[in-house]
Amino acid sequence: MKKLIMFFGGLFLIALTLCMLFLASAIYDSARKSSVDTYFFQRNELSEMRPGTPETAVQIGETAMREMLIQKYVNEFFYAIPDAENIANRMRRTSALAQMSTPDVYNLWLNTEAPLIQALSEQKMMRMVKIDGEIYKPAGSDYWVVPYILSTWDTSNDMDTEPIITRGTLLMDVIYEPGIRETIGGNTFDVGNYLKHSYNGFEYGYEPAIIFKFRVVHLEHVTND
Amino acid sequence: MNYPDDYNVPTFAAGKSIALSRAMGIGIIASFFIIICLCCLLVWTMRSVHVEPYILATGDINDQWQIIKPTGEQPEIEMTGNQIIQQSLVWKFVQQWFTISPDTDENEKVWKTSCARTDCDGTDTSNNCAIFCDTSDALFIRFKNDILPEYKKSVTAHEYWVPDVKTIRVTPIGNIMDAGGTWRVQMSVKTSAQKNINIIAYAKVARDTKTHTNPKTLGYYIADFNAYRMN
Repeated sequence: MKKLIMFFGGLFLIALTLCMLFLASAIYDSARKSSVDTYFFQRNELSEMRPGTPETAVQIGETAMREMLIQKYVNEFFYAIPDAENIANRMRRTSALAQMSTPDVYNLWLNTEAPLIQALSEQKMMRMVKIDGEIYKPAGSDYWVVPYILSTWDTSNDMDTEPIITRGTLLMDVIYEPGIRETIGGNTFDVGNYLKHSYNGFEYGYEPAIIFKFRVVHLEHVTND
Repeated sequence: MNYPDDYNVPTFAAGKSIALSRAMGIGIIASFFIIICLCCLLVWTMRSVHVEPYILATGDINDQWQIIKPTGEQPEIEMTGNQIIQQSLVWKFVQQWFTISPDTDENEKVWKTSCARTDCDGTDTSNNCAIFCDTSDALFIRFKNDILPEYKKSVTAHEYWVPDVKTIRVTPIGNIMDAGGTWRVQMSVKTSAQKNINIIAYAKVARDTKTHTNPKTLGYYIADFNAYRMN
């Protein structure tokens, strides 16, 4: 009887150890999100069928990453295409621009630039934006200086139409730190799931650029022309 | 001792229980060792599951970022049958829209303005009423009034356009549903003046199986089309 008790006692100890080790490994596993950094980038234009060597965010470096995100933001801020649904989607709180801005900055865009983009879209015009030169931050300033060029085609289906060029500058106060967002809208952000959804290009609302810790907290718009 | 009839005399009375305890002890140690190894393996496999690199492509038109291949999965994008039909309709339509052929009869067929919806019902593979059959009434009126006169001037001036099929890229913009969606087209058109025209166009596809009874497009048609010259 005593041996039987010893045997079952041993079994219980083994089971207990197994449970504790499983628990310990689960705790260890739960800490993974803050340490794994496995997202790669390909910086060349795919349409040229000349893909570049994939680089990690670490290899690209903090400065280049910030510039890429600023460039992305400026594009989202200005581009217009002749599609009413596109601008309607961008005016939702779930849009890339909303996720990359504070509510104040996004409201500023909603009140100033969005109606203009809507008007361009209704008139079947197209507008594209390019960064015009270097993005820099003057010494002692909180603002990044982002010069840009807008090309606006005011007539569609006319192959003789040249775009109208306008220049301007955005002054952007940006919060950026390397890494992936841990929360979004107060909820835990599962980046893996988000990117899996984004992979299907047939749905609007999944934007890979929003996974980074990038936010525009203040913005000033200076028009040169 | 009565050897050989009774030789199985234990030399040490407690030997059997000691041997049993020893075997159990060794067994428990071995079990613990195996469990620890399994736990290490468990932690390792759980961590390895989460190492899923994604490739993000940047620098597309309007700097749209795209995921081009989640590593470890097949690089495929799932498309429904309806999406494929929409894409192929746009692909074919842009070729018709941007062709100015030296063959006047062919131009007349494609651009024909005296068509009725019933002319689009058949499975005729010729380009008769091609633009009309693939477009909405409103878009065809725009074509007839704004585009066609310019094309006719080009024919008179012996200037012809041939789309470079290899350069045509048709990609979705936003939601593409069974009822239609917006597609972006990038392409190049060769002209007889030995110049290439690089084009970005947006085609809005809609569906109405009652008015557009063309069996080749299952009711899909181009509701709006806007193209811009990039060079």
